[in-house]
Amino acid sequence: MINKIKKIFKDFGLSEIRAGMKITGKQLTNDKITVQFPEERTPISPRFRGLLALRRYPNGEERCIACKLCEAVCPANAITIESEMRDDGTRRATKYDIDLFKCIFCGFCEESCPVDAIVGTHIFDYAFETREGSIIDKEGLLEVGDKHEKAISKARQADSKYR
Amino acid sequence: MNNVCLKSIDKDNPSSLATYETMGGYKVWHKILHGELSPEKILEELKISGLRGRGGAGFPTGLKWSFMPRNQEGQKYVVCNSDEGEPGTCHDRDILRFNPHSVIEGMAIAGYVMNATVGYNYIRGEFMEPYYRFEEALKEAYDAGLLGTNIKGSKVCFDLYSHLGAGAYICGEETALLESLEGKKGLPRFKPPYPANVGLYGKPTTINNTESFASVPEILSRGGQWFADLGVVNSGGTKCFSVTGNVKNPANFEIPMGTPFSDLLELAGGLREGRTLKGVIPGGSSTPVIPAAEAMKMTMDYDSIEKAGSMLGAGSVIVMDDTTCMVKALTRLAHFYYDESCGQCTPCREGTGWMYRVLKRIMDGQGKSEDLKLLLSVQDKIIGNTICALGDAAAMPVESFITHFREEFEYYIKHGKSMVENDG
Amino acid sequence: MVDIEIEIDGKVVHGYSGETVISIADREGIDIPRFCYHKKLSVAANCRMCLVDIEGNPNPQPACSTQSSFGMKVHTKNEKAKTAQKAVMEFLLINHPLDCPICDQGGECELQDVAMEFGSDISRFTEGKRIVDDKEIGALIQTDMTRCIHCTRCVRFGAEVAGIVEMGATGRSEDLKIEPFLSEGIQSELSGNMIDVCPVGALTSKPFRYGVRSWQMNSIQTIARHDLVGSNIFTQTHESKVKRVVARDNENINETWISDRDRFSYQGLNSDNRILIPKIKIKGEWQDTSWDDALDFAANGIKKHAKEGSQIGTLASKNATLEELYLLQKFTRGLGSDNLDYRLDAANPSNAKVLESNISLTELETIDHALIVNSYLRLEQPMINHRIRKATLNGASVSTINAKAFDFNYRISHSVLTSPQNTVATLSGVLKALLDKNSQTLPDYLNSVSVHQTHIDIANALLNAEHPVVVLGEHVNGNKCSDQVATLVSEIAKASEAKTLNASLTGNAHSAERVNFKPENGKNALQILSSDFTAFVLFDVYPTFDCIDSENAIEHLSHDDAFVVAMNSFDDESVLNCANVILPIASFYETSGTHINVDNIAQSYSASVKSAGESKPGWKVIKVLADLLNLQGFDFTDSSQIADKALSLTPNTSEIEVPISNSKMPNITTVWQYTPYASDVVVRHASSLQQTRIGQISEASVCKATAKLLELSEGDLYKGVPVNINESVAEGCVFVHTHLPRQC
Repeated sequence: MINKIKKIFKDFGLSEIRAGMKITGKQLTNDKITVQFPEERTPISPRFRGLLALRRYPNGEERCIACKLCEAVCPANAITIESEMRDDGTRRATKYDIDLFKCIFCGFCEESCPVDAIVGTHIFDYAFETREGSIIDKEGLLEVGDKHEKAISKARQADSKYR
Repeated sequence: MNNVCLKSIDKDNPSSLATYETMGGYKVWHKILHGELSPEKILEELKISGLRGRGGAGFPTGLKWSFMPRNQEGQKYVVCNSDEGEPGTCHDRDILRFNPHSVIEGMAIAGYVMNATVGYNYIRGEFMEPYYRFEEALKEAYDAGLLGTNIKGSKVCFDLYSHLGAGAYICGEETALLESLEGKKGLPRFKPPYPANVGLYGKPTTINNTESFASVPEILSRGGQWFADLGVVNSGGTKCFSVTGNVKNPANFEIPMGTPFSDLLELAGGLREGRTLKGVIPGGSSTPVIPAAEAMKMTMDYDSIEKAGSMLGAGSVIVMDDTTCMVKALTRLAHFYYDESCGQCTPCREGTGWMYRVLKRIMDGQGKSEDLKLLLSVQDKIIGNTICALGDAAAMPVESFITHFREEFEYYIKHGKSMVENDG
Repeated sequence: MVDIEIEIDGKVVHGYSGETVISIADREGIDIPRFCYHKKLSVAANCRMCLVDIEGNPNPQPACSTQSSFGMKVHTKNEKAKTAQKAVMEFLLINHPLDCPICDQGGECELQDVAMEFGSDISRFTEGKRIVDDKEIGALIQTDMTRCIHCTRCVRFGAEVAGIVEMGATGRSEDLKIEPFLSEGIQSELSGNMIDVCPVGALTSKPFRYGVRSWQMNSIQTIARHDLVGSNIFTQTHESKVKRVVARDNENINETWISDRDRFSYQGLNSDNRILIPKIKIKGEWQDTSWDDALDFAANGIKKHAKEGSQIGTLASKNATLEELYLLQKFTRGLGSDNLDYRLDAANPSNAKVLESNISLTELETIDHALIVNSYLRLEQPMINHRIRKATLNGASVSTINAKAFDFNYRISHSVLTSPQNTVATLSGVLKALLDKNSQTLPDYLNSVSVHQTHIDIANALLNAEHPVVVLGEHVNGNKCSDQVATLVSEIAKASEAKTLNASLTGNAHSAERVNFKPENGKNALQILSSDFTAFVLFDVYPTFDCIDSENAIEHLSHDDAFVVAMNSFDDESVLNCANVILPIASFYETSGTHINVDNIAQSYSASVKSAGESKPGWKVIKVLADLLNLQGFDFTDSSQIADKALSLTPNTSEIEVPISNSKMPNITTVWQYTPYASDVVVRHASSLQQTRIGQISEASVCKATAKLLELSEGDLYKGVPVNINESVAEGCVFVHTHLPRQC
């Protein structure tokens, strides 16, 4: 009996609506948490493994020595490398292709690389317009690396003490 | 003093045949040529004398000679190891300079005992004067008809040649010496087979030290027992000691085995004024160092020195007083072995360089606290793992220096400078 | 050889007295790490990696130099052994560079493998590492001497197997360097084996450098068919290309070694000069076409031009497979012709019985005297020469009867220099001396023969030997009296109870003999090439190099009326000139086949890689051509069926009396020998081999007297080859050793 009376008061007193409006009123003055992608981006861990890139040394020399360890370790067989001796006697890749449809972004290539040449960048929003576009070649990878070198080295720096 | 090998040292023209003969030289050889001394008798006398190889290992000479397959067909060789390269040693040089005929006679006797008709004396490359003296003596001996084929109608044959080395420490190792004598690079051979079976040019060969050969004629002319009585039990006879380092009068002394170290130090004139003894390396740089307290208690014979934690070795006593920086001393020794390793087998080739570099780093003030542990570990990995004894020789000083003088090393690492202020 | 019992790791094992611990352990499958030990080389005991604990010994002992004795107890994996092994591993690694990612040995490196088990994760060595200068040692071997661990396997290989001390250890301590003594580079014909014996990446293959990694390749068991040994090899392939060739163990054939020719010839396969598409010549113009059209063109051409079957002549390379040779002879004979031959380089392709080989390769090691006739064995047949060298190391002596004093890698005790025209006389002299010694009656033809002292010396050496052998080499092929030479060699062997080895049957010639790829009644190679035949079939023949009278051959083949079907694997100008249709065929390693070696061992192999371009295996091409011509009995679906059929044949061994008469020969003759790297078409295209000193050989050696007669002086060209006047050549002949095509 007493419960029934309580319910009637609650219903007609609009208590739930008031509770709801209270939260609304509170949030009205708080900071917004919605991220306006792509204008805004969430923070990313330095270990994030996005689009792959090939790096260079500060003097402009490409790091990759075509040791093919990444090719061997890649679980998805996404990497294809061909190598030869460059005129200066060093070992270099003549072909370094990554099929991004195959790549599962496991990061094994980065782990296995003895010279930190192949790295995962923080880029995850990319697209290609043709079927062939999924294969990114050495020049393309180097270009990504060159473009984002600052971010890449910063991320490595941040993560270095845990390695 | 100076009773056996160095007994001609005070005579005029000591290296000449005439001088040697006035001292009773070649008496034994003549006896052999007259057929009055059998090989068995010689071996017996040598065994009684307790003569042990003077080159370092101290293997009984009589026993060594008896290992040669005397009656085996074919050529056999006697080789004298005069490649005296051990830092701190110079008594073989003096034997060759002042008493070369005793070596010639000793080798001839050895040749007779082991039925070897050819002998070689491998002389250290830097020993030009001893080489010429020995060559002169050899000529005298040939001229006097004491060597050659069918010597004085006795049917005994013995030809002796001397060979000058080319300056590698490793050629003092007997098998490396044989390689070098054969005209190859001086690299030790692995054993077995031992030289007594497969030696020079693949033939049975006996190799002894200069001093061992030089002692033989005197032993045989005066009897093995006489020689044994000069020394103490298990270390018969006399031994030449080269005393060097911080003493007033560094020199060679031939003294009876069992002489207290303190007496030897006195013979060498003692330490300089105001200095105290710090340590002694009793048998050449390859043997462990002994700290002063133990050194003053020991006597100069095989057993006593072993008890003190070292080896008699080649009898080169390096005396170090309190002005010696032990870190510097060890670094110098390590550099010597680093330089002289033949490079053939891995632990010695790589390990000696590693030890030297770590020590050098400590000397440069870049030492790290774990370096001593590293050094001890590296030397432990060399010992016993190499073909010849050079690896052991390089490793043992490191161990003994660090064990006995650890605080000096720790001081050097911590402060980047020596604990000893007026070094040298 | 007493059987003894020892205990290794608690397991009771048997060995021979004096056998080393490591060799017993290897047999028993007990793993002991090692670097300097190699079963075919002497023991050096210098790497110290194989240290094991032997009970009763205070120090660990090297398993490679410790001889086993009865009751010995060995522990290879206890604390003491492991400590010692790990210690040595650490020492080996401190100065070894960490460049595995760019090292071609990476993935197949003994040091890497052993370091995985015995190495530490973290180096305690913080000083600078040693760096050693690389040495330029020729076109075949790449050096990275910083990686060297001084095991001295290459040094011992040079001294003990190759017989030329080219590498040595100089300096001492850390400065010990393994390097060649001379700056000219490695010159041995077996040098590639140094790459195989090197446990690390210090010596690697230069043509292979930085191409593919070891784990990317498939290894396929196959046979090298450049010489008459048939060395067992692995072809290592990647993406349908042969990337490398390495030796495969076979004690009876090549032990663990292979010659440089077998090792590096694969480069030729990848040359740009391959024929990839069928071609037909229409009105003098070559045009590419399809297989169907080309085969029809060939079949119709043969039908049209060889109206009578006997008007067709077939010539094949002696490097063809057994299957190809079998089908080709069946094809030719099926068309009604007996005009076929493989002996293109023979001056006298007679029907006389071929000198038989009755000594096995392993037996060659046990001989105590070898008489080498007409052969520069070291370069012609390196693996056979190696066996004879092994015999000489055990005390065998060797004498030679040659046109030139060749540079063998063993001592020659008696040597007779004799020109081709005098070879019969020289051999007769030796035979006469032998028969005189044996007090046998002389046949008439020996009556007027004069015997010299060296003839008697050689006879004595043969008679005094318990197991002598007479080796006949390939120079005899160019001799117009080759049948007489072979007969005399056989007679000499008979008189001295010697075995014989016929090294003149090079390549796969034994297969050709097995399937009777030579005329019984028809015309032989020389006659075919001077006949007026209207149709020819050439199987991998390159007339400029292969035919003894190449100018004449090309002239006849390019005759307007002649229809020439050429099956070739490589492009060649002379073939383009004379052929009417070119059918591209698979080359070495691209086809399955069978090789019969000097021991009469038939070794079959499958194809390692797909054939280049549109080319097809030769046996398939012949089969289809036969089908198009409606020939019967070609219903094979697999090369092994053909091999079975071919191997069931027996060679024709009819005896033909060869009269020994010093038949008239010119006063001055030429001995033409190709360098080993010009011996067949594949190896001629192997660019690295061509750059070696052996590959670059090109000189016409002549003695002063003969040079005067020919009015030659030093540096002149004799048949296109620079003249070198020296007295090591027999009078009356010019010895041409070259990689250049043959000129008449």
